[in-house]
Amino acid sequence: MGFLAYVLKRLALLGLVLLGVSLVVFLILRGMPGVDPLAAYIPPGLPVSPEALARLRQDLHLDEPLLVQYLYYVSDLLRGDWGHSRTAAQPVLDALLGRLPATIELAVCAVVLSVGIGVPAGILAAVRRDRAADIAVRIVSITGVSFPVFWLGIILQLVFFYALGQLGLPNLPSRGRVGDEVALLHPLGPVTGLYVVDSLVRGNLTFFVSAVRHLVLPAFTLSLIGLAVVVRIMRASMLEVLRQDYILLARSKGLPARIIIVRHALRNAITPVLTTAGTTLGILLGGAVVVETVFSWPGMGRLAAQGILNNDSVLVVGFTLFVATMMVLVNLVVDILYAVVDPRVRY
Amino acid sequence: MNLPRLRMAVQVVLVALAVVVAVGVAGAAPDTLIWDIAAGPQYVDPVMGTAAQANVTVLQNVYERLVWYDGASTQPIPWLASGWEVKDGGRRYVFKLRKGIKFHDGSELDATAVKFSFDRAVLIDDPTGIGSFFPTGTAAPGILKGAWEFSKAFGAGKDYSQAAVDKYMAAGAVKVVDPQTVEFNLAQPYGAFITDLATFMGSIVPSSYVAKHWSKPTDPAKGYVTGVTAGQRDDWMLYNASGTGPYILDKFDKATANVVLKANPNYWGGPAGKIKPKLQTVIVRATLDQATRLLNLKAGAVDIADISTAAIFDVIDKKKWLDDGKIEPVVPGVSVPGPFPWLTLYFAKMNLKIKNPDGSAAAFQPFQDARVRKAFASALDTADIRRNVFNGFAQPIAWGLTPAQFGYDPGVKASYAFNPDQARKLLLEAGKDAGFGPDKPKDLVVIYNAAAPWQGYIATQVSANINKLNVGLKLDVKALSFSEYVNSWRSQLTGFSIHSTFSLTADPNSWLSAFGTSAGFWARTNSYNNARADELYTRQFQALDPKQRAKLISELMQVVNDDVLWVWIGAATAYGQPTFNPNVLRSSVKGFYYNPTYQGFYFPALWKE
Repeated sequence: MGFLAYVLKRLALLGLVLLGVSLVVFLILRGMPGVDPLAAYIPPGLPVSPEALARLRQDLHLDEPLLVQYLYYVSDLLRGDWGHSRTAAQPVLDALLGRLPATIELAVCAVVLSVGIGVPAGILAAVRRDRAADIAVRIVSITGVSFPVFWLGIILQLVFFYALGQLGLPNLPSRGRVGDEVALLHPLGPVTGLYVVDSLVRGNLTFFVSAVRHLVLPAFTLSLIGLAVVVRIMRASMLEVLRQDYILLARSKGLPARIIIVRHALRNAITPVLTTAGTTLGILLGGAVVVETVFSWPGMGRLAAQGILNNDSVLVVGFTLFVATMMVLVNLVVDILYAVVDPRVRY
Repeated sequence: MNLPRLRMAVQVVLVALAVVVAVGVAGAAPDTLIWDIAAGPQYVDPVMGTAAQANVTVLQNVYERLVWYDGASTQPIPWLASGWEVKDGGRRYVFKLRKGIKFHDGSELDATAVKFSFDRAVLIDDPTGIGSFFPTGTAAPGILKGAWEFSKAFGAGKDYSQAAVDKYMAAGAVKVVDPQTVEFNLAQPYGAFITDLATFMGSIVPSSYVAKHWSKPTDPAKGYVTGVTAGQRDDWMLYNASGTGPYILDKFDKATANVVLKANPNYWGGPAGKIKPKLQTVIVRATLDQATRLLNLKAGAVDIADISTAAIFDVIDKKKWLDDGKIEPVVPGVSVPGPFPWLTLYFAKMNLKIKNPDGSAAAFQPFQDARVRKAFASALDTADIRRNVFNGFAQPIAWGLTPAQFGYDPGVKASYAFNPDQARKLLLEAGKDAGFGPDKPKDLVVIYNAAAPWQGYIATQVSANINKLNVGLKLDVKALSFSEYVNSWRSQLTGFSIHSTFSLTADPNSWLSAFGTSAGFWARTNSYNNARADELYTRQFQALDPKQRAKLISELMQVVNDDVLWVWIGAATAYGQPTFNPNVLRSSVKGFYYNPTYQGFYFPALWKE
């Protein structure tokens, strides 16, 4: 099968997957027995007349059979009408897209940190197998991933924001994407919505430094979700490769260890890490709810958390659909990237 | 791996990190106030209803009303108006406006702006906002003339066509007499009209500013007047504002839900000409996480933070508060305002007509017997709930009004008190008629919203207390998802449920209607119908004399209490909204005073030392 045919096949499958996801989220929104779908649209304490409720039922086609309702729902989704969020006071799709850059910036940084720390650590563990460095790397990475991120986030705030500040030392911010004063005195016009990139493009150095400072704690906290997996996969993959005959050959040729590891072993061992990093990125794009909430990071995750607190199921369901879409897309991109990284992969 | 290289890479990262950290966090300037709020504003259009403290706070600092409150007083005084006259037995109000007041966009305050503001509120008719409660009114004939007939959300309106808009405009609800005089024509006398004008729903917006950012509807089926499309939200005004108030909305970031307010350098100074904002910048930051807000407050990085009542003992001394009722901060440099009567209520309701899911009446209707209702009310230890669920931030009440409201009468008596023996006696008697008893046990479900654990505590308590009595009623507690919970009580599928509610104004009208009238929001989900209560409600609605109105309200409250439909659990007393998040201040913030009608801070009163 050619590359193009493969991509087309995957795109067709993607459509089916999304149809399945839309059916599930639709049933959560409308099809649960005993659940009044109107509750999602009107706050419970609102004195709306029974006539107005009846009109809303009609507008939402709630008296039609479930299948007909689903067809209306899918047709609305395809037209970009994902419903209106009470929480964001905006259409759901606009609200999610508006917060997407913040989430992308955080998730990408977290994955870069996961890979940037995890790959060297995994290599080190493999090369020094069963020695002190290996054991230390494994303990640290497993411990890191075992801590709940909300707890770790708070501890990092406590140390790097509160304790340093109390000691009169420079500290890191506890919340937000950029300092309040910086946002007021050095505002940044929109380019991509990625603050670190935009501030560089605009040459706004004050904004850049503030944005990076605000990124450190949440990105590090979030990176721990993927870090342990990257370390373990890198280590296992590296050990596997290091056992191959061509490595033995390279060694017998008298090549230095650095050349063997970086040029011969790493390129062959990195493919599984790429898959992991891709999957992690997909998870983080949708799963940064807790970290975004703890650090008041204005991304999609925080919006979803607000939606959950407000019982805004239209938003929560829209978020679920959006995250599923992104997850599928990221997986597709990763599969395509295989061929780029590993020339042996053919479609 | 080349270890020296790895080491070097680690060193580079650490140095870069150190440089980034070394920039440090600058504290807020003395004329800047930062508030970490639990939930940021969603929108700032005064025609949209809201109970969120953030929304209301922005509205009451940016916009002003014809009448408002002087300091801590809850008695409205002329504000943008210099005075008013009541005519035609309370059906007509004529206001004179002050001269020389300007909106933030530079346009002049005049009678046209006032007329535009109220017509706009009626015509937008936003169904998701309690803002539509006033000036439309929930029951015929409504408040402003023609508004109830127009409203789809509350009235009999069927469409938003041009004909419907023209019909409302022709009714003459608000008329410009001359540039400084405006006249309101009401559909009936309304005793709380002035109080309602003092809420954010009475905010005055400039017509030219709104019209500048408005587009004529392209759909010919949509009626409009210049600046307002009927039945449609104004996307610009959701996030932008131009008022006459002491603060200008400088920035509203939708994604972060943070707002920045700047002092209005041209503020007219209020009725006495003395109001001059000292804080030049106010930053309200939505910080969802409780632990982050607490850390920021402790570190002095913010001046005000919302601290949930569940975590309040991180900030105040638990023993002194629960045992002696004294608020004593345990965090240096922090003060907790209060406790104050607030406008949130906790209550349980009993349904006279339990229904099956198909809408038919259920076979077992225990709450039709007043003795059963009284027994359930007597089985609830409300004092224990106020102490252990709300950590003492709730006070006992004998009706669905809080002491912060007009008409609150401590003389009105509840028809029950916590008394399990009395409950048992009543249930044994009632069971003979209602078809249950120790030898004939019946099942009953008590529901609560699973996302609200405080309701779970109350549901468990009432069930345990009733089950213990061994009277043949077996109560089962059921935690429901929010949607199921709402459906269950709204469709009357359940007999006993637990709730909280809030009022936007210190006027009791909305709660008197909700709990006391057959068309009331809560009462109709109980099938409550008492002609005497309905009559008293209408009479107090139309009463213009406050004394006479207060008397009618007391009488109404007693009539409803005698029917024992509601168990009044308590009224919130923490300063903050939602009430589970009291506002805690750094001691450096000065000038705070309590006014229950504010529902948020009035920043010109505050300064920092």
